[in-house]
Amino acid sequence: MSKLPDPIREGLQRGWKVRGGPHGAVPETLSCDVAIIGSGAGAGITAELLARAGLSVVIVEEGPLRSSSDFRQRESEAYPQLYQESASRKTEDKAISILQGRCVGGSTTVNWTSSFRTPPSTLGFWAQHFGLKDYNEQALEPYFEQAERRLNVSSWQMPPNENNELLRAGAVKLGIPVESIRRNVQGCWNLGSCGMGCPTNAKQSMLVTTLPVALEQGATLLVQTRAERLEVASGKVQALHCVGVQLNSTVAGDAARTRITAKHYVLSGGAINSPAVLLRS
Amino acid sequence: MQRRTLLKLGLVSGTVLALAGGAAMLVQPGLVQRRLTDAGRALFIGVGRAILQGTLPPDPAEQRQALEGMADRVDILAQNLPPHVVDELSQLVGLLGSSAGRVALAGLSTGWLEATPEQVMAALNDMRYSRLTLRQQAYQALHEIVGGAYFSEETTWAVVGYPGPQDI
Repeated sequence: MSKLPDPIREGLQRGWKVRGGPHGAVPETLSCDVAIIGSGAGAGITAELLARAGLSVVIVEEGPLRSSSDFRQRESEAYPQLYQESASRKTEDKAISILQGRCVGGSTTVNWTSSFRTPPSTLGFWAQHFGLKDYNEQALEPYFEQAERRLNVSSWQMPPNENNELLRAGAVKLGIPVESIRRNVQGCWNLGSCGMGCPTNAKQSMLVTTLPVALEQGATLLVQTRAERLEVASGKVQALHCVGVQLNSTVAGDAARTRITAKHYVLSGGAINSPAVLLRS
Repeated sequence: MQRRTLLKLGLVSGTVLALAGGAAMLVQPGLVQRRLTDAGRALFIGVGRAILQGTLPPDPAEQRQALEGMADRVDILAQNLPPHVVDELSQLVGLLGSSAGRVALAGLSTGWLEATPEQVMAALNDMRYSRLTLRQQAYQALHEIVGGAYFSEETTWAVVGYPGPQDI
């Protein structure tokens, strides 16, 4: 076990409001200003901003709360605890594995910290197909900058290993432009264990940046709790229905059920799970 | 391959698996209460003996123990999977564990434990390079699960030169 300080366990001892799983029962009803579904990149940034602004925030996460003391750099422990479908999620044709987080911090807890801005071609696609005309490079520039500053995104300073150096040399020879990847780390130990949760807290994931601030401001975090469906009536979301889930995603017969009413709902469960919530609603 | 073709193949293979799996389920599922059946266990030990050639202990008794350990860890994997993935895995294992499924999908006429590791490897390679998406998918699933289950055990790391994670 990591002997380094664990800011999450320290926060829990200070009385952060975390419920679900081993952290105590989730009440049957909750009301708040904003209910946030998920605890990854979109959710974490939102939770910090709104909690700092003085709003009451409830964050709903399907996965467990795990932190640096738990991150023992072993796939056998990390996959079932930190990943969607125990890291076995795949495209329908099974050709591509989708390594997606399912833990507090979402994929930001388990990704390899590559941090790049949404490419102009993608923004162009969104503008053309989804009417997001305001989402152009210029308009988003200050927001990208803000997020990069918040998460310490900067160019990777370490020299590449032999594999990557070969890739770099090959690309240069073929005239393909190569750049060092930008990463959200602070004091990285270069352990190569990013995918199993950062045991040194160098990775500037939501787990160690935005979520602790939101919790310190009094936000409530529900873990091992699935956002099952939005209750919609009169063209408006009336409530969010949640259910307690076990680590292997099964819902026990006596699982706790919770109805959350909020003034606003933020659906930030990622590109696969957010549509799933809408389909179930 | 164009994306459209890929999707169509995916759909077809899904249907084939549903039909074939449905038939196999009538005979025997591959997992019962999230544990491998005897036939499922034989499948993984037979496949492991082929895929892991060169990394397994040479001593027969130790090799047997290492493969049994790998099969135990497939059970642990199944405990951790969400219900819909367990169902899918149970279908695949049930199908490959039955003699009809083994012949149809893997093209292997003898049982997984009776065939030599070379025969199993040849059958696996046929699946791997098959033009049928379903056979490719079956190969990929077996390869991934066997490798993942075997090398998740710390005692297997030395042979591949991995010193293990740094103590923090």
